[in-house]
Order: sequence, then C-alpha cells, then structure tokens
Amino acid sequence: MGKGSVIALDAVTKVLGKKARIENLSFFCEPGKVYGLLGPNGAGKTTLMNLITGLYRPTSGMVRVLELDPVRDARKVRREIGLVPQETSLYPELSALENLRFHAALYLNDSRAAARRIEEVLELVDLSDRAKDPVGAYSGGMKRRLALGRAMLANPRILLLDEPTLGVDVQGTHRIWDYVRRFKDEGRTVLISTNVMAEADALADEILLLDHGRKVRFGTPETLKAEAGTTVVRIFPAPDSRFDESALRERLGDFSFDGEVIVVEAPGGEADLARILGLAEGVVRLAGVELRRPTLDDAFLAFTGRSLRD
Amino acid sequence: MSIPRIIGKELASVKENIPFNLATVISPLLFLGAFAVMVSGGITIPVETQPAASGSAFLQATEEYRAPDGTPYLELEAAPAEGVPDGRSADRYIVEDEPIVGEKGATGTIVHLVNDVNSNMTKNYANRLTGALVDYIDANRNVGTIEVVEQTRYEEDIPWDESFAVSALVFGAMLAGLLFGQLSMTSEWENATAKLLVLSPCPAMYIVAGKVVAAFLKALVAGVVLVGVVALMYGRTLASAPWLVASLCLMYVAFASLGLALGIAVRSAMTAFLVSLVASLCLWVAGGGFGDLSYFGQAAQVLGMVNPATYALDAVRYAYFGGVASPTPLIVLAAGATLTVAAVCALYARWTRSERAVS
Repeated sequence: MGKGSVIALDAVTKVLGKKARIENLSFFCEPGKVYGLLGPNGAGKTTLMNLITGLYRPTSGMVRVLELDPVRDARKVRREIGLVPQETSLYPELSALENLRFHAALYLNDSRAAARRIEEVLELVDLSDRAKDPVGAYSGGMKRRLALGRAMLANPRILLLDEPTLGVDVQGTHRIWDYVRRFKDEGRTVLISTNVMAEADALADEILLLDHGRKVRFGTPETLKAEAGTTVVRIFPAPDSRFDESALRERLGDFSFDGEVIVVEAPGGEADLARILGLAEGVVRLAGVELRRPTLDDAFLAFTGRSLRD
Repeated sequence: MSIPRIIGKELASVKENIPFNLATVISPLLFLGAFAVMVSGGITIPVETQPAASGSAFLQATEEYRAPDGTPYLELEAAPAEGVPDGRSADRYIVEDEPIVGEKGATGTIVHLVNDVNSNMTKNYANRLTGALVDYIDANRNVGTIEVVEQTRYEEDIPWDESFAVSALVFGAMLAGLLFGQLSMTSEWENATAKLLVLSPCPAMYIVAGKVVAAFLKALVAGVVLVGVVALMYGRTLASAPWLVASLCLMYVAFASLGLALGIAVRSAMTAFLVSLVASLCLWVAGGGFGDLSYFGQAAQVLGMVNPATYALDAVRYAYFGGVASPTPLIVLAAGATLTVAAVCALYARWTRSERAVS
C-alpha cells in the first residue's frame, strides 16, 4: 500500500445487496493535496466516502486511513475526519454558536479549548457577527460556510466535502474555494466530491474519475483533459463567402469543415493559432476565430459517455 | 462535557417541533376533558317503567336503591302508554307480575327491555336490576339472612370521573415519554444530521444518556401540567406523593428510552406522534386503564402481566387513593426502566455500527 498515504484503498470491492458499488479500486491520497472525486450518478462516490469514514466495511481489499482501520479504529479515525455532507446537516432552530457548541461537545473534551476553537472557526468562515442568529435564517452560502467551519472544529487532518458549493452563489463559491486552498496549505488532505467540473478544475491536484464503481481515470486535471482531446482552432468563415478547400488543405494540412466551422488541431495552443491564422489569410475571409482547449467536461463525457444515469 | 451539552441542545430543539410538543400535553387533557363531560351527569342511569313507580312496591323500593354516598343508582320515570323504546330511549323495566317475597319463596316476573348497546353486553345487562332485586328480597324476607360483605381495595368510594382522571395520567405519561423519546431521533432524520451523529467519535452511551435525560425532562414538564390540572379539577390530597413522583419518573425514563429506540426506525415527526398515540392508548387499555383487567379474557390477563401500564396504573392509583400497599408495581417499573435504558444503549451502539445506519 502507498506508504505515507493519508488515505489508502487497496483492491477494494464493496458489494451492497447484489451489486458491486465499488469494484477492485486502488486509490491513495497524500497529505497536503486536494483530490477531486468525479463520476456520474451511481458511480460509487458516496460509497467510497462511506468506506473512508468507516460507515462501510469493504467486502474485499483493504482500507486504511492514517494507517488505521476505519471500522475497527472508528473513534480514532473519525476524530481526524471532518465531513461536510451534501445536505449541510445543521439544526435550523439553533444559532451557529449553538450548532458549533453541540458539535464541539461530540468531538472535543476540553470545554475551554472548545470555546476558543469555536471563535476561531467563526472568524475563519466569516460568521462571527451572525453567530447568534438561528441557522434557519441563513442563506445557502452561509450554511455551507458554517458546515465547513463545523468540519474544521476538531482540526482534522482529512476533510471530506460532498458538493461543497451546491446552491451557493458565485461570491460564496469562490470564498469556499479559498477556504479549501487554505486547508491544503495547512497540510490537510481534502477530498471533494463534486459534479461541478469548474470546481474540480480549479481546486483539485488530482482527480479520481469513477464509473460503475470502477476507476476510469486518475490523474491531474491537465492529464485528463489532454487524454480527452487536443486543443483546436475553430475558424468561422464570413457568411456568404466561399473558399478553396483544396488550397486551404495544401496550406493547413488536415482539417474538418461542417459547412459553418473549420476545425484545425492546434496542440501548440496560442503559437499554433498565430501560425494557422497566417496560413489561412488570403484563402478564407474570416468572421471569427476561437482557440478551444479540451475541458474537464469533455474529459468526463469522453470517459463516461453521454447516456443518462438513474 | 458531552452529556450536558447534548441535553442542552435537545431542550433547545423544542422550538423545532412546538406543535407536537404541545399536542403531547394537550392530548391527554382533551381525553380527560371529554370523559369528564361524559360522566358529568353522574352515575345514575335513567330507566322507563311500566307501571309508574307509584303502582309497584318493587319499583318504589328500587327508587330508593342507592350507592353508599346516597346517589340513587336508577332514575325511574313512567314509560309511555304505547310503543316500544326507540334508539334514543332508556332501558325499560316492565313489571308483569309484582315480585312477592313470601314464606314459601319469592315470585314475580319483570321484563327488562335492553335498549343500550353497552347494556347488551353479557356482563352488563343484569347488574343494576339484579342488585335491585337482591336488595328487595333481602329487605322483605321473613327468615334467614343475606349478608354481602365487601372488602374494597380502596378505603373510600372513588368517584368514577376522578378514577378515570388518575388513569388518564398514566396514559399521558406513556404518550409523553414515547413521543419525546422518538422526537429526539426523528429531528435528526428530518435535519439530515443522523449521519454526523453516527460519525462522531462520541461514545454511543453519552448520546443516548443525553437524549433520554432531555426527553425525561420534557415529559416531566408535561406531567406537572397534567397533575396540576387533575389537582385543580378534583382537589384530592394524595395518599402518597413519593409514590406518584417515583412511578411517573420511572415511566418517563422507560418510555423515553423506548421512544428513542423507535425513533431510530421512525423518520418523521408525524409518524412518531401517531405511533406514540396508538401505542400508549393500546397499552393503557390493555393494562386496565379504561376497564378493569378482570373484565377481559385469559389472554388479556397474561398480557397484562408483562404490560408496564398495568403496574403503572396500580402505582398511580395507590398514590392517589391509598389502599393496599405493595412494592411490586414500583419494583417492576424500576426493573423495566433499567432494562429499557440498557436495551436502547445497546441498540443505538449497534445501529451506529450498522451499514444501514445512514441508508
């Protein structure tokens, strides 16, 4: 197993009912990194998180968190994990302070240290001035920030975030991203399950892409994007203009044209763009040009397909 | 640090489900109020007679057939000359041959038209007429003696409505314990906080202790209201206040624990309320809350022996009316409370280790 790994899954299979929710998965997380967990509905993301937290016992294979068995050493492992569930899971009639005090009572033994930590966390998530308001009156973004703060109360080494920016506005989203980067800088390991590709692209050092319980891909966002396709230049000829395709092919080499857009591979990015435009000049009257890099969406669809999942 | 904070959070969460918390207190009061109205007319049963009472020595004697406190058992009025009783009419006694008690025995024929559906039950139909007849024969015989000596469990005659009120206290205690225990878990389900609770490193026993104590305290508040209302309605001096406190507290602990165990499976406050209401009503009736357990069959007697309501009713009735002191009800309630607390700790701990805990 990966030595020094904070989270290690070695050939793990998990069967629930008659179906394998996770199949022969090996996955290792290092400290101080952010991992994106992607996959269509039913891919096994929640099952994976439940294996890490010790809620599920693997059917076969081995799971280790901080070199401990998360089922047998549940109490020790759970002290080191901060979970932000998808539903935020706050008590709406209680204030932020009361919510945090209750959570601190479950995780921390020293009441004075807990009180100090609660203050720090409220400062961290910018909720100090609303700490005494009932959580039911908070906006979605505030609830997410409070949930993040709650996950940080016990100073965990691992953070598991399930859709951390679901329903949050743009400002709130970027604030939460800033928190995640800060957690990473503090040496914590962050695992983010998300359906927002932009979020995974912005935050993740590495991405685990699951489908039908199996590892489809594992790598950096750039690696995944490069595997999904190449950068292209899209040239939009002016309307009602014509051009000599064979003459253009002589200059550019291979390209595709669907009657509206000329698409040319440009693995060199901006450098290729300038070259291509130079070559096309005089042959095509341009209405527009676009340099299009493969996105994580492209990678996701390329590796998991376009069919809907239940 | 954990347990007091857990209790505090549970008590603060009352704000979340105020309608159900209020319903827990109000339901037994409504029950009590409805019964009080029902029996507000007293214990006297109206009866139509043919002929009018003045035309029969037996019927005149029956008018004077009374309860120990002087209340007449029967209120006689002359039946209409023609026609049979309709659905709303009282029962009817028709004296066809006037009862006579002579040296050679007693003779007479009385027709009893049983009109009330409850009187139609085998055990009910004869009670008052039979009593009136025995009383009449006893008063008019020339030789021999009929002596009926009653040894009552309770020293004084207990009014029906007061007896029911005390019995309703037990129903209220079970409802309060069950519902508050369940609500402590259903709120976790409804707020989607159950998973975080399962994942916390806090020992399961601490969480159970905090929730049971909080539910006990809420049930205690409901109990104080109920006992207060009963005191205001009837003003009776308790035969034993410590017995009342002990029996109610033990009931709250037992039923709060049971409610918490049920709440692991019940995921909505509405379902919790319905389950609590039905369960406490069934236990209460099956324990002799509405009618004496001796009225029911063998199976009911056996079930009554394992029904906590049976012992709770005995204990609370003793607390109010005195009578035959026996430690058995309190011992059984204490054992039951201990067992349910231990069982819910084990069940909760097992549930947190189960993979189905958050599915």
